[in-house]
Amino acid sequence: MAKGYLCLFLHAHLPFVRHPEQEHFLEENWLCEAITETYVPLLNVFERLENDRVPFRLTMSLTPTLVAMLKDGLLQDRYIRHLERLIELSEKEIIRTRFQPKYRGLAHMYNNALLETKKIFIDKYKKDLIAAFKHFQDKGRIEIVASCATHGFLPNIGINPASAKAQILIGVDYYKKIFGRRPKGFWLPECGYDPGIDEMLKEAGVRYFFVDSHGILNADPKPKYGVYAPVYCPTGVAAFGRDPESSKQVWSAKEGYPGDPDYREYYRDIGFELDYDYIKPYIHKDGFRINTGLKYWRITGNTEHKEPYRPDRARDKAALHAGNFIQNRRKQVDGLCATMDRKPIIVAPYDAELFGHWWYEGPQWIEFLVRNIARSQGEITLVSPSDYLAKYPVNQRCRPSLSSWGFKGYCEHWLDGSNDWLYRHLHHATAKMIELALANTALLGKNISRGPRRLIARALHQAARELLLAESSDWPFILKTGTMVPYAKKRIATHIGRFTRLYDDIKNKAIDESWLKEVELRDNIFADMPCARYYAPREKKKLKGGRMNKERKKTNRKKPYPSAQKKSP
Amino acid sequence: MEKKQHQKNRTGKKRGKKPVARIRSLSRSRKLQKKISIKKPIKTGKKTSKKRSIKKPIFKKPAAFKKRPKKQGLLRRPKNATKPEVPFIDSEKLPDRYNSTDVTLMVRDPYWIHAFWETTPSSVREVQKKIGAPFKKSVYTLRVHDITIGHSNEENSRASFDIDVDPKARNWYINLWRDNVTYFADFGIRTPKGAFYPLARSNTVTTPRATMSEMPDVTWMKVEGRGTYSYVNYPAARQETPKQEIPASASGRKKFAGDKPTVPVMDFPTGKTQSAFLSQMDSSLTLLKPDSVSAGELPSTDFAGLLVPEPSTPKVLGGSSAYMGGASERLQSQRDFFFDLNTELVVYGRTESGAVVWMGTNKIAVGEDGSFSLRCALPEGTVPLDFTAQSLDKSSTRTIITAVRRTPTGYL
Repeated sequence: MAKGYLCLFLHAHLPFVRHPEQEHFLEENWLCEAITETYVPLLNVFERLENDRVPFRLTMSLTPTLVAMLKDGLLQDRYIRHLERLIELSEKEIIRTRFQPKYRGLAHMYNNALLETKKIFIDKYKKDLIAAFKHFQDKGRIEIVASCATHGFLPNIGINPASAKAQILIGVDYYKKIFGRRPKGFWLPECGYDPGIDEMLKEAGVRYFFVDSHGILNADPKPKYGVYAPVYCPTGVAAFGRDPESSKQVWSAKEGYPGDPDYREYYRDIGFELDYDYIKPYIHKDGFRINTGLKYWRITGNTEHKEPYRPDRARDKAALHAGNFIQNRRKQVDGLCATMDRKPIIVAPYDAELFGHWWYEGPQWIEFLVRNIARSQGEITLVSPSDYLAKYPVNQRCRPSLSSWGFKGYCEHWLDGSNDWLYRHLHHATAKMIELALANTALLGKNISRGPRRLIARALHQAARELLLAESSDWPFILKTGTMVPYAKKRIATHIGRFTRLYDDIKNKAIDESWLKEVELRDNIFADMPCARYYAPREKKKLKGGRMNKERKKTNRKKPYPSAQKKSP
Repeated sequence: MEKKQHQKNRTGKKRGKKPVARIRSLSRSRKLQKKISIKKPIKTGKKTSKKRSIKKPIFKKPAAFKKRPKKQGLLRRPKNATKPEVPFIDSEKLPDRYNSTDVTLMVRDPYWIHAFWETTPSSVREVQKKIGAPFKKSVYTLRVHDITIGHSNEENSRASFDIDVDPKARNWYINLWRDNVTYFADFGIRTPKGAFYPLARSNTVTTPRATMSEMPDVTWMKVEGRGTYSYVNYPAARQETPKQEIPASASGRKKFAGDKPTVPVMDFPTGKTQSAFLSQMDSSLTLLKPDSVSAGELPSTDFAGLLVPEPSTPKVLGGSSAYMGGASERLQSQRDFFFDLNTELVVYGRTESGAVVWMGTNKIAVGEDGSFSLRCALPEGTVPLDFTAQSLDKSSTRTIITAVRRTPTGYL
């Protein structure tokens, strides 16, 4: 009999980085690294657990931008190219390290892992990782929640509620398209919640979302169970609060598990360590050094000198840490059980890329954790939030407070001297987008297949896509952290520039079709979704059972009136 | 078979309708449209019944289409896509201005609001005409209005404060001394005599609370079903008294730890809160308040350490530095005749050079000669001033405590 519940949540997100116009693009490596180090290892973990018949239940989000990239043929092929180059490097490494016993094993390890990854990616999953995640969701092993269209930070872009709403509704509709079902939950980018967002979530048909601890703790009225039970917003959408203790154990750079001396050191990469002439073919084409993903050292301690990585020791440590995590949760649950008249839920959300990419042993840790929980038979059970809501449909009614999981807990990370200029442009662009949508509602209602009206409709939808891409929270985040700043600035300027040009062209009724076509090919996210439609006011129809997604289907389908049909024969 | 042929037809037509001959071929395409129009409804009907969400890919041969899995529909680049004849140009320069007069507020955290604005020369000229000669001595001002529910019931209804901004500034960070407030702002020009000529009005924003709610009400709600929401009463069986509250240690980090309760709570009576709160509720919800819960729910008993009532605390408004410009609260009387009064507190002192000075828990900037001064808002109530200084070598510490009390403003 379970005493308490644990909801392990992995938030997988990468900004939309796809540059067909250039053969090699540095930022596309983000995706390649994440696939090799996080997504494929996670799927391997799921696969192993499934094969061993270990029951598990995890919750995940795969943001639309990430899904779009993982589904994109161009990027899939580029990933394979990336992987092949890495395999080539690892083969060279085996030769180079043949007389260095400390490193030879590691070179072999990477070589094997990369070959395995290639086999899995191409042969097993047919380049489509999303289908693999969908498979586990359909099996009931993971619950995937929806997220905003382009990871817009809602409290900030919510100065135009239409923007926030479009982000949410497009995210939900895209989810339905990809996963073939309605999302039960929603991940607010950066946990950014502002009262009022729950109304939009309700409109999108979402049952629950996540906020940071203080979003729940500072809710109004005061939540009785703190973050250990969800609360219902006045709209009936449930909010789950992040547990501060469990997140600190994993997140914290100092006290967290990933900082253990036995784990692999992220910041020592052979891309930087080895001889320039030797490594040159595998670093950036312009000749500057980048991470290759082959790292031979462990954290060792707070020193410059690093010891060689020992996979066996790291594995043992991961097992140890998984045990420690469980033990701490057990203690926590014991303490909570004494004070609560129901079983508590501990919500532990993390960035998925932390596991594997930053914390190399992270996927192993998850595997140990899941096996440990399964073995201990109860006390703590893994659940998804929707499981918990099914068990406890009665919850306190509170209004959570504005919050995010960023630095200082509010909007500062995405709104300070380094990035506040961005919102002026987003604000005006949104106003323009709404203006366009209102002026052209007739074009948005149905799918026009050809003619000059089709061209305008295409331009409208593309304008909406450009606006969405500019709204991504990753750009202000990068501007604030100060790495890759020129790229973020360029992306903002590009998308706002393309939007402004489309706006002017639509206004002047002079759309350059070849230019538009090229823009469509470059920014092909949501390519077959009528994005501009989300900025026009929706007709409110009373629908049976609150099924939002039927609304659009109904308008296009011309069925004979049911009663007339019956009478006719 | 029929469908295949149709697809060929479609793509073929698209090809015939290439951009160059677009206008000329329009009439032709219309004719074609008429021709196939009989077939069309059948086809769309079929499509919808299968899978509507996937776009028909535009491929040359049906064979190629067969090879590719359907998901490739996301990739819209047709195989024969050629690079545009004209080199593709992106304008990578963001517009400097949008030729509008507007001001927008954004919440940053419980104690900071960000405002950004733009004015057009014509709107400024218009105001300039109205003001006349004193325009030269006038200043650009952000007038921030407090419209928090509850605050307007107080004696000093419609409180507002002004921030004089640099004429060249385009945005401003506004420091607040109180969390959980609702504001909007007017951006305009203020003459030396105090007349305010607004240029634009902002959106309304509400800052979050920095601490836990003091409202102890517990109302329960049941949500059922997957997509449909229905509301039912809280089951009687669950009305048992919970044993205790959750220990404070488990309830997470606390923001703005530096703010200690100092001024009496400027809050309205609990009875009023509850009724106001209940009236906000959706009438369709059936809400039930278990009697037993409220008994154990008195604010004094729960979340022991964390639930120190956190009232409005005077915040240091950027001290004496010129950067903030400083903001002082502004009160308006309700009558037509213009008369307003602001209060602000300046505290200054001296100590050894190199010493460190705190006000409460906030560190204060001390000049090289050991002098310091700070300026802060002076709300109604008592503002305790406890200053602690520590010498450079940390050997000696001295504390000075005083307080300033402002009586409630009277409007006679």
